[in-house]
Amino acid sequence: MSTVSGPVKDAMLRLVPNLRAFAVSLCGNIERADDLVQETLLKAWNNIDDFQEGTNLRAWLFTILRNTYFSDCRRRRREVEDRDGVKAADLSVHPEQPGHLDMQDFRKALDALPPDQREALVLVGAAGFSYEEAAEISGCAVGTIKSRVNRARSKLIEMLSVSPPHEYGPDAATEAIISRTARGGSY
Amino acid sequence: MLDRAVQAQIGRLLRDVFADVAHEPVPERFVTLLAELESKSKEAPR
Repeated sequence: MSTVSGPVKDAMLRLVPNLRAFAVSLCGNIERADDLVQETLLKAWNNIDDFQEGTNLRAWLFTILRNTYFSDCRRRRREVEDRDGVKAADLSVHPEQPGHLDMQDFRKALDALPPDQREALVLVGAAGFSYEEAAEISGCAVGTIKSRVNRARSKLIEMLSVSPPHEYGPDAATEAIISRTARGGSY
Repeated sequence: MLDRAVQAQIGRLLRDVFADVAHEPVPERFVTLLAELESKSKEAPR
């Protein structure tokens, strides 16, 4: 027996702006985001019996949306395969004005993160979920969420900093080669 | 020092990116979709 009561429908409607914001943060594209939201609402409606009333509807809908997104990515055989730093390495954003980051620079940097790190960062840093809730939504351990958030933060800092990264990454390697070449070209 | 300033900006921009979309009104297609789903489930409750 599956019926959706008016209040649940209204609650779902009220959560649409939040779902769209989450979807855009994940996929970086409003059209695809709206398709994700549409699919999420349909799945939620058809599986409303799985939702336990009194629990967090927002977290439940976010879970459906992210699962839809990630299986979509697997189907498309892209993005998810871009693990740590492959794409991010090519894309370092150099803000025009030192110390000032605009929204576009930031969006570019956010899109360059591996999807699992972007997800963790958005859930905790923008959507306001606790680490525990984010872990439940993503279906992983709390420690995993924490480390994803940390890696996402340091990668963004690296990409958005005006100072060049020195400790690690291909830039450091390139610099080392350049400086060795400059010293005499033997390596 | 610089990292700390960048980190604060990152936090703010992250919330801005999210809030930008979260503050938009619900597009009509979703109002229609949910209304349709609701009327369907009223017609034929499973």
